[in-house]
Amino acid sequence: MIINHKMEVKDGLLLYPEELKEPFLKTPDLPLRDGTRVSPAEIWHFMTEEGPKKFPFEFSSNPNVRSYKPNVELLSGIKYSYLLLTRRSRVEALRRRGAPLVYVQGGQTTDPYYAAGAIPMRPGNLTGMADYYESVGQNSQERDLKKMASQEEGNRAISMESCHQVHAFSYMRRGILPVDLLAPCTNLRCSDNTYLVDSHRGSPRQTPSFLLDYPVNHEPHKPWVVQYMVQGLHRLVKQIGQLTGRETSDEEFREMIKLLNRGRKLARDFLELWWSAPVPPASSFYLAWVLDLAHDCNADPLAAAQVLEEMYAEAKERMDNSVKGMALAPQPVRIFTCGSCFRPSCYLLDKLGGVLVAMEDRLISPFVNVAEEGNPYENYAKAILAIPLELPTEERALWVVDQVRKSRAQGLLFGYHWGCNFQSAIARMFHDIIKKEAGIPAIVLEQDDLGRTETLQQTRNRLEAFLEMFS
Amino acid sequence: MKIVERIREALRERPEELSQARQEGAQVVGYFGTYIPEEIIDAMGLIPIRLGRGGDEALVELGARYISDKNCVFVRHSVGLFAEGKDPFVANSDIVAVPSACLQIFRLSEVVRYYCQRKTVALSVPRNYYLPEARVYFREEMKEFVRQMERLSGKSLVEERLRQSIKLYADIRRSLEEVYHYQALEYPPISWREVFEVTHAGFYLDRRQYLSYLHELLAEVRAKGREEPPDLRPRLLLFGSHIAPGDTKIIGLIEECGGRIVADDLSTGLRFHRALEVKEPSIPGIADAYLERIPCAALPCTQSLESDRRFANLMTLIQDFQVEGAIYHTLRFCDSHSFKANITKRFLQEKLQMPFLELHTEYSPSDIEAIRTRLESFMDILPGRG
Repeated sequence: MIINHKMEVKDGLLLYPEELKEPFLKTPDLPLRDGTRVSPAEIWHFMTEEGPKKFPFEFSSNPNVRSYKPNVELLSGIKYSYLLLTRRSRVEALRRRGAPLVYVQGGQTTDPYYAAGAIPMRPGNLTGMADYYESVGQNSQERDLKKMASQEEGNRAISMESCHQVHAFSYMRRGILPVDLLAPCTNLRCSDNTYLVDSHRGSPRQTPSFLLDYPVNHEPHKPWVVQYMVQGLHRLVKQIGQLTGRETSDEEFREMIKLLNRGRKLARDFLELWWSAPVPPASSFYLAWVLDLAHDCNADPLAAAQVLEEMYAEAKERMDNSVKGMALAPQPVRIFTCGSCFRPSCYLLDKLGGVLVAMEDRLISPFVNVAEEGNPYENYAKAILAIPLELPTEERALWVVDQVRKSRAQGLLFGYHWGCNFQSAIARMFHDIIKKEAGIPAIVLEQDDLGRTETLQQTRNRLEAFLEMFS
Repeated sequence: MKIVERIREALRERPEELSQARQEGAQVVGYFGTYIPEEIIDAMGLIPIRLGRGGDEALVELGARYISDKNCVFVRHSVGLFAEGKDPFVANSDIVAVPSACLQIFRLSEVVRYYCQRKTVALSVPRNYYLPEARVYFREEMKEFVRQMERLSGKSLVEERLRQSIKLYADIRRSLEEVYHYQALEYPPISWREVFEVTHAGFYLDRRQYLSYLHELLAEVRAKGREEPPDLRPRLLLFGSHIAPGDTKIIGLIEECGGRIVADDLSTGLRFHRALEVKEPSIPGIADAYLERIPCAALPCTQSLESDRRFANLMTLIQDFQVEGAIYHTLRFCDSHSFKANITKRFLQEKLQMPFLELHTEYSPSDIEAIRTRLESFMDILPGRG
């Protein structure tokens, strides 16, 4: 069923309109990794009654807030939001059953962590989950103030020049986030993360840590690189096993690879559908959600795969009926974003006449396909060593050029956050290669609003000026 | 000291020497960091030159046009050197080799390859350097490094030459370490600053000539009598971010404020040649030696502070050189050092009650007086004052 509904505004909150209840109740249950199932009725109750009371900042009707979404176009989007808002309770339930919460790197895939029975969470998701500890019942401004205080604490304790991933460390240092293990991959998208883990040795919380080393020079012809990663993966799984009290078999690892491959394939299918439509069938934030969900699964790869299937089916139905995204202009400017930890406000992008066609940051998952037979450690190592974002910059940029052509992108935003050394270092180079090889306009944006929601005006100015070039 | 004057003279002549050598067919490998094996470069008949200078704000600004202003000051400055093209050592480098220990240096190599069309080679350094599989990995990486160098230079690595090079560098390191240890004395016959300068000279000069200078220096130092009166200034350990040749701001201020640097843990100072022993004259032997050296802070560590070799080295330095105060210098956006400032401070204060001062700065002179104020206050609390 195709829906094009606006959220209702009441008391400063965006609420799901009652007419969506009936079609939503007809959607399937959501299976969770702990073996339970959540019915659509339970989800609807949470998203219309409980959620807005507990987490009003996520339902803000303020368009300057990053999470602002005035439209409902895919019913499965409600389930995505449900997974987001129930992160804390689901993680706590899983931890009570012995699953450790593990801090991972933003750009890595998470197969071995899930396989070993852990709950992997990247810094952005941990920071978001911290809201559900610190900001229960608060509006978006109150939540922002808390976040700024947290960032300040982290900066003072560690460094004023850290990127905003320092948030997650501040929460961990203060015991707000119950992280059991720090075990990020040292992949190339980020240099701050490994130093943050290093600095955590001085934290009052003595959390065990391990770095899954991702070598810098990882050309495919080097078998020793694969072996080095394989050994690291074995150590990682063993370290998680020390917390769960169980060993992970190769078969369990293969099964998890299959499950995550399923989600990754769905994301790839969704992306191809999005690219093939004359105008994408939904507003930009749905693409962002699909890519996010395939990437980190919101602590539940089984639920994530279910939601991805439903999102794909709904988007396809819209496309087959030539329905475009509600917020999109008749001929929106197709924008490709690059850089890690970067995404412009989707609402803003659509409002200014653009549409998101890809986020390089999240293109990892659709383009990773781990072989499902044979040695899972070797298969996984080979797959992640081929991730395009991890390639040397010139090769990475040329891969993006290829995707720019396939997605028919008209403009490219390369973004990074204040304090990010590693992406900022090649921003100009990347931008120059894209302009030369893809022949499309590109812009470099430095943002300062990771983890905060109301600092969008400078980004808005630049985005507006950039999109005006296309009119 | 007379020999120091001669070394300075040799340094002034070195760019012309290099240029001449290149005209006669020699090739120069300019490199960064402390993990590129000079022994291998030398054994291949190539000329190793350690690149990177500091202290010039204009070059920082120039470099930031190609890399970014969110990168370490030293890295921006280095990119500026390439972009400007006037530094004779950069200009004379046929190949640029970088280790990946510091990821910003790795990015530097990508940027100079793209914008300055330089031939570059990267040597991947494992982050989990203390694990057995990292040793296996690094040995293979070192072999790959040799293959890349052979491909780019057209020269081959010869085993007998490798033995000779290993011996040469072992002699250089031993000599430098002996010169350094005079800083432990109350009556040092040579100042730390002179030793630092001599260490830097070794980045550029012909290594065989350099070794003979070091032997002369040692002879002169040994022959020098006790200086009267004893140097009772506060004894300081200087460590942290890179202090490249040309970057004299912090050192100058420390001396102006009455401090005496007796030891350092700088990648351009004592740590460059300390605790590196090639036990087996082979590529794997060299890989092992470089991996076992005191690790660069650019390599993150998840071991306990007590097991961390960097911290163990600091403790040894403090003890051996009777350090009374620690000055931790961090450059803007040098995350590898600045993120470690607090844990380093806490460690030294808890273990040794060591007075500790962090100086976070760039190459601009605008913060000189602020730093001076902090240094003067710091000196006032140290026991050696007055």
